[in-house]
Amino acid sequence: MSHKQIPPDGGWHPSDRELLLYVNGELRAKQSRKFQTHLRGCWACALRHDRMAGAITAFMRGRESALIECDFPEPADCKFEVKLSQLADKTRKAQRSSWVRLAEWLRAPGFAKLAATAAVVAIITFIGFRLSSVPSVSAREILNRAELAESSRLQAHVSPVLHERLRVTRRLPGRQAAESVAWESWHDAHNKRFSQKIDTSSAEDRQLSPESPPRKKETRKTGEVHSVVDELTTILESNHMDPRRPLSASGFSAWHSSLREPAEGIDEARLSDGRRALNILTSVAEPFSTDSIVKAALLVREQDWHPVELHLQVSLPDGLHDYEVSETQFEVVALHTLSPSIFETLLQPAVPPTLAATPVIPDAMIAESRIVSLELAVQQHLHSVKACLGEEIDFVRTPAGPLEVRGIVENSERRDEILRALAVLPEVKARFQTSAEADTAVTPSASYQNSLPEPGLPGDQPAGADSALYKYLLRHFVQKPGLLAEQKNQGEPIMLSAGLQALKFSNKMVSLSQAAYAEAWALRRLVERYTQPGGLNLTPDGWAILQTLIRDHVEQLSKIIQQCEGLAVPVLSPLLEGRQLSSHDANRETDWQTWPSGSMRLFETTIEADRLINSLIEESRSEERLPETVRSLLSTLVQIQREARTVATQVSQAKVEPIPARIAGKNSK
Amino acid sequence: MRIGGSQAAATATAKNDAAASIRQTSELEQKVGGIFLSLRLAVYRYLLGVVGRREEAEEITQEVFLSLYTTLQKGTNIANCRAWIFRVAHNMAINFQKRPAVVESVQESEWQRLCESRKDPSGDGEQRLLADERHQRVGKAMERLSPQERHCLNLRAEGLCFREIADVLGIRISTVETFIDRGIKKIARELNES
Repeated sequence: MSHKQIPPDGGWHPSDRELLLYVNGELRAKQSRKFQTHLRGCWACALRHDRMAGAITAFMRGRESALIECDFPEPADCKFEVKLSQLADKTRKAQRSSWVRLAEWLRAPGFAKLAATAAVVAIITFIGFRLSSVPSVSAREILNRAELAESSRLQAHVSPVLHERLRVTRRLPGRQAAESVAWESWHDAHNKRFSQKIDTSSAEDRQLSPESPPRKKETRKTGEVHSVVDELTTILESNHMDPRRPLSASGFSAWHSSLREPAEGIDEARLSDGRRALNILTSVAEPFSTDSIVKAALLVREQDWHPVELHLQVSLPDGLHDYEVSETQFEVVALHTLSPSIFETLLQPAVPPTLAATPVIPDAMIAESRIVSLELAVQQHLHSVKACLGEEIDFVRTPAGPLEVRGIVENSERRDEILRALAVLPEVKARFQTSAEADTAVTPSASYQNSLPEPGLPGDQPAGADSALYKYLLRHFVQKPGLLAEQKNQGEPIMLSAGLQALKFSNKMVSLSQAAYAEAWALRRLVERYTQPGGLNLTPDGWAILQTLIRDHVEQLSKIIQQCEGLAVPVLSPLLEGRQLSSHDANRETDWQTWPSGSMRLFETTIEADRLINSLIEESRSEERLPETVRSLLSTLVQIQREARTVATQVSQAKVEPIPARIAGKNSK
Repeated sequence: MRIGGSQAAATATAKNDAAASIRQTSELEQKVGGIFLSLRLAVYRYLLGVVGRREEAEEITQEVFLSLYTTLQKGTNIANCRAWIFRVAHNMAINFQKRPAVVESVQESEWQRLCESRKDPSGDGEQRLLADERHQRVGKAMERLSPQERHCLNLRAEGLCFREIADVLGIRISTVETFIDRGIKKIARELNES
């Protein structure tokens, strides 16, 4: 009996803890692969795995059965909605500003109101003086509101383009004169394109009023970047701010979050048009590093929470430089209203070299749903190189950029393959280490090393050779030699021994089961990551990607199970002694309401098939119970196909509904 | 703050402010409503396992999500919403349990009900007996679980990863591993002893 497929892992066997982590999907990718390889060859460990998985399945089945009638009651749903509504009403009432009530009262007719008005104004003015410049709002809250407001503006268009005109002014130490340029930019959020134009009225310009047109407009030529803008973008980049959106709440927020103990304050201010604004003042304690921002002030218009001005003081080798970025125009427009030439030819080469030809989604423009969609785009590219099947890959949102993908892969070839796949998404940072670099050596458990048998040598019987299935397979292949015959290079068939055929059959079944297991986990990870909490909150693009990924995994799973059936049915069906599988054998309902719940059911059924295959190969010591296990396995395979078809149909037909619509739908029940 | 400009301007500004705040409140209400719809069942099932009675589980589930609304309304940033919700649910359930007159654990009663319901005369008698026996054994094993083991297994069953479970229960990840390992072994032992 050959045992050549047992991995050369030097007698290593996983500890109980490692097995637990593996079964729970908590193991790192390298270790997980090591496990898979090991379990394929070591039937003793496959038995331990099977026992643990069996206990989990039993627990889950028991729990599900116990909770089968424990749906959250609909009256409680309604009760909650009423309570939430009451709570929100209470908040709204509290938010109903005293100013509004005062203003309404002021408009009421009557002589007495004049006197009352005067008195109230006097009191309020007095209080105003006493409490001047101490609004009860934090910098974080202002920034959050500003970010939300910008997201809302962007979401108002299907293909929003953010158009900004800024005036950037630099004051150098020891020089009275200020240098000023006009910076116009377009951000195509949907197609991730960016274009900019830099005009300079003069090198030395003291006329800083945002409303004043530049005295002499001069568009920068191709490839040139004005030194003011160039220097500013470098500073913004090194301080975690978005170099393309200096005047954005999210950029300021990212810098703010990167500070350890900033001193901050909020001042009230009036804009030149009389509108109220809040000024977030932040300063950093010494010592300052080069290029670091030491003081910053972001002026946010209170009416619509829109940032309109930014002052920076930056520590540079020659002293402190002051920058002022003020907005002269801001609008969010639909892409189709713009000339296509803006993104085709307009000064694309004028982008600083570090940013050139980089379709970036700036932080401020990315609403939550867009980040999720970007993440899904990454998932799609990982999927294209099968890096979604259990490798250790994490998504991290960093202050410096919308998304960073980190992971540990087996070797440098694999790392390069994944990096190549992700190269088409330059706005995503990818940081991958090889396993050797990550130094994730597994320490084997001494107790198991001692207690488990050494892996077999070529010629040994495989572990589990006394199993009922193995005995049956030997008999089967003796009667039907050549069923799994191999072809030599010359095309001449080799008749394999019954023992070798039995081994090949088992290995193939385990291998298919492992592949199905990986697909099922990939499916589950997608469902868990993108359907909770709060339901689907995706852009149409994101949803299209998610649909494709789900369908791909379901179809792949279905193909694997089909292969498994093709392999198992001819060999194992004689055990059923002529009794065909009836519909009763695979009669679990497939009438779940949503594709996520269907996907989770599909996952569970696949795990059950994996358990049964392992159980069949390893555990069935008694031949009497073999037919029952085979029947369960074959019916589970049929069930998986059925569930896969239903999920594939449901996910194709599903549409993304906004959350309010879902609530309305629930209310109408 | 001070009054500036005409009364009409003040009225308009104030109304705008109020409208913006009210709009945000409505958005938050919808957001929490959405989260409630997607997580309420998981939380409720987990709470059933802790407090044992449906009425209390229902009540606490609602309180958890109202608490989420209040917290978000205050501007608090919640990094992992699911873990936060389960943590609050767990703490509320533990506080509830500290009250007097807590009834028996749900497992026992639910398992009794389940076993009763499975004594349906239809179907193959032998198979039914085997299934009943298996469920009885799992039920017995679940009764032997410590509260912490049960919490860990129930949270894992609701899809939380080890790190989230550690966060919910306020324990270390290695402790979660230990509890889950012990719990699974107890169940496996019970199943294999027969």
